[in-house]
Amino acid sequence: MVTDPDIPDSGTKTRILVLDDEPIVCKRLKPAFLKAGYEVETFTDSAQALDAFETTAFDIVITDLKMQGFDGMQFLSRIKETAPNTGVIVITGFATMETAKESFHKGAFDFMAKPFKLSDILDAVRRLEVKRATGRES
Amino acid sequence: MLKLPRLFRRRTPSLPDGAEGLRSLFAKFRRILDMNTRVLERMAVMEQALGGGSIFDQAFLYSSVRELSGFVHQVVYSLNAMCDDRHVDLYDRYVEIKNTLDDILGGGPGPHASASVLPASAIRWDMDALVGVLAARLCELKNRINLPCPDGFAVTTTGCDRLAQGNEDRKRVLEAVVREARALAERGGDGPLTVTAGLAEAVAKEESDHAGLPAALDRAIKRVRDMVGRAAATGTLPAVWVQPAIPVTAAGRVITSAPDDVEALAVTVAPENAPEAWEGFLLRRTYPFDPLRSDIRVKPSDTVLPDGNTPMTVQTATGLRRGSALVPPEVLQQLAEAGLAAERLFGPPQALDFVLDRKGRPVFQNVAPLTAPVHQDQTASDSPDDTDALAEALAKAVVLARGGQAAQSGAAAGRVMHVAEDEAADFPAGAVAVARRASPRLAPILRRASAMVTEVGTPAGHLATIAREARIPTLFGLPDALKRIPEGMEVTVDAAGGVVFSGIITPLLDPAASGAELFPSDPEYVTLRRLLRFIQPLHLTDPQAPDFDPAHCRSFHDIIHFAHEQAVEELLHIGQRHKGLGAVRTRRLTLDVPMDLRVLNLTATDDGEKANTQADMTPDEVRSEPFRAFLRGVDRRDMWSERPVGLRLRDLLRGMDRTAAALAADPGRTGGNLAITAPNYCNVSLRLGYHFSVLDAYLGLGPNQNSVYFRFVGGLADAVRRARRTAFVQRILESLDFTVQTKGDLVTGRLRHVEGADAVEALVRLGELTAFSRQLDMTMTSDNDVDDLARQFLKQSKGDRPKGGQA
Repeated sequence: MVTDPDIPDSGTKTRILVLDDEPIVCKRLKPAFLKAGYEVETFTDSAQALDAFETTAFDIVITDLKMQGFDGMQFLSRIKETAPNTGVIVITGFATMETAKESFHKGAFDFMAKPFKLSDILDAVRRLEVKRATGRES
Repeated sequence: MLKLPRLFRRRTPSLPDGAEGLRSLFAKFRRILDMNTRVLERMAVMEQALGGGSIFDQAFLYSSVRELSGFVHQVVYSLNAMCDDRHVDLYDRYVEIKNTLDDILGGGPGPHASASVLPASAIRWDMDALVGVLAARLCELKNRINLPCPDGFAVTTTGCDRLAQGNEDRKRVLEAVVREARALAERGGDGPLTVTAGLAEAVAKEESDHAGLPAALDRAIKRVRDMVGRAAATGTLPAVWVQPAIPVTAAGRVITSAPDDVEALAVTVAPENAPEAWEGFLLRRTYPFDPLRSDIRVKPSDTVLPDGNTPMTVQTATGLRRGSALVPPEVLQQLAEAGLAAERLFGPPQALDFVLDRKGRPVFQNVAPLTAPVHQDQTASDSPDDTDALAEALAKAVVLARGGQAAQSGAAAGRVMHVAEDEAADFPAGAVAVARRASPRLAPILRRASAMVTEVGTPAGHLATIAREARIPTLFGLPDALKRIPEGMEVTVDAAGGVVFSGIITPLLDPAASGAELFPSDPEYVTLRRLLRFIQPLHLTDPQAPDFDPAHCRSFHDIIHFAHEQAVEELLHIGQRHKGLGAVRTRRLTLDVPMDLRVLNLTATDDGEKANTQADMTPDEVRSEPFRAFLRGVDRRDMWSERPVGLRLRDLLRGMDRTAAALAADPGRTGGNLAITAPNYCNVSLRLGYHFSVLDAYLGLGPNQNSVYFRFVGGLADAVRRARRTAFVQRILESLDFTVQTKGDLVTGRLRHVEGADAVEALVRLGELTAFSRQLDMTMTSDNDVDDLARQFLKQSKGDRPKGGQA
């Protein structure tokens, strides 16, 4: 439940999917999002994440780019095909102008270079919620 | 030692002649500056990541090491290019350190892997695979936060392996053991020894005197091997910890999270000769660790307790009788503090075994996690009960203040004390310290606090580093903290959340509630700390010392610092060392004050100066931002004193001191005072009166690139006056928030991670200090003069506040 005056209260918690092949990232993001009042599921395997995404509804997806197998950029495209309203935030340790541009081009809402501050990603999620709820960027 | 064969070293091309040669030399110097700045910046990002404020992964660690190695390599190359390959041995040090870093990234044992015996001072907690968990943790508690732990040394797994081989290997190990034991005896451990061998879960102890040590080692190792049995023994090696035996009056244990009450600490203790007569205490986990419950046995009033008193002894401090508890309240408090400090370092919860010596003082003998660290299991944190309890508590909690940035994440609670820089002695351990600025001088207070909040400050900076070292939750830059967090109140600080709550919010203090904190048990944390040990610490501080050479570089920071100093020296000696470059044009600076100063502008041609101009230069023509700031301070006529320096003949005859030696030993210098400048850099070396000072400043893009370094050596005078002069300079530098080190007459101050405006202000003050310093020869006839003079300086200097600058 998000107690933010900008976001109309829909009565349910926002559901976030986190995909990163490094366990430490999932391990740290999960309790932070839970504490902030979100529901969250984390994955270190892209195939499993895709399965979960295709069977359950998620409001927001946070994904790494460079991973084994199905990488983040492909995941992003797939998300936008399947459920275009899903908000996507890309996190990556290999941030370049090209990957940033490509991410935005494919419909990512935000692009964050690792290491990133916890407060920054929470802020990005909040802004994404506002956008989805009101159709406007805050 | 890996020595790069000459074949594989790039033969640096020699510098071209004339103006082109000069340009090339200056370009290499600026490259060194540039690379150094990037190294310092990346180092700062890595060190700050330890605090838990940012999310990083293994890939970050790999890419950081790769980048840093690249920068440092370029520094070494550029230095040798400037100096005609006079420092090729610096390549060896670079390669060695880089190999160590790669080894650590690969999970290897690190550079001590081949050591058979290691003293306590060399042991760190991540060396447990080498020295055993017991030694690793005890030494970390001792070395890092100064808890009362025994001195001693470890025989490593490598050493135990070699002991078993026999012949020469065994002989060498035993020689090393005897050497360490002798060193231990010299440090006070000359009595009986305790030898503890560990292998897997098994532990075997032996007692011995120094002479019988080798036999005791063999016995302990054999016993522990027998305990584990043949099957499990393959592939694992024992390690041994040797410490002085402590005459013990009682033994006990501190558990930081009591089995039946997670909000309490439990202490049990029993007399050495009557282990069944144990006593137990349940203490509150927040200072002052009030006893919630005590199980004390009735004793006759003449019983001698572990501290040598009887229950009826009147305590001089309180006027009250001692009471019959085996451990008095002060010792319980000390044990509780130690338990929480161990928790901060190793993760909660922890069990610490201790003994009480003949004076009733605790000495820790072992520290181990109670169960698996709370956060190994990811599901632990998302049990619905915990989250709901926390949410409920947070909903009801009163927020006193919100904002700031965490230098070290975590939550802690305690009573608030407002503090200023000079109040360390009175600060009660475990209180929550609230201060105006994050001055480095608050370090002693921070170490005793359960949490710290300041109104001004950032996660960069020296005090922030100390917070991360001790893992004390710290929040900097919270506006109006002093007003909003009143003294005497009990509060809970959630550093990562940037919030201070009224009262003690227990669910928030539960480690499971912390959110995205980085734990000491996380492998990424351990790896980062290990890496930083070979990247960040600066061991070489005194350029005049005999050990200021490549052989003594133990970190990347040492290498770049050494390279920078050598590069500056090269520029100062251009005329002498680079004869083919033609005469170097320095220009005299016209100042209103009695100081002779010449300027070597590295970007003269870029700045549009006419080639080879000889004309004097005015301060207005100076393009270098840090140098301009310094000159503003220097140019204050009112700070100079024209009175003649009152040196006595005695002083002149007395001092074969460093200044005189420096003056005599440096004939090749361009002579006099010289400033080397570039738009964002200056290095100014000055001899004024009989003082020798160096200012080195870089103003970059943002706090992590800004750096001001000041070095001062006092000149001729008797030792007492020199000491007072040193104290005066130290006082002034500390008031400017420099991190200061002194060694005899040498004062070194560093200011980093500050905003550009603050760095500029510091430079102006240093200019004023330079102007003022002639007076240091005249006064200082008594210790009061240090205070008086410091006050006078600060008062006079405050007369010139830069317009619109920070207070």
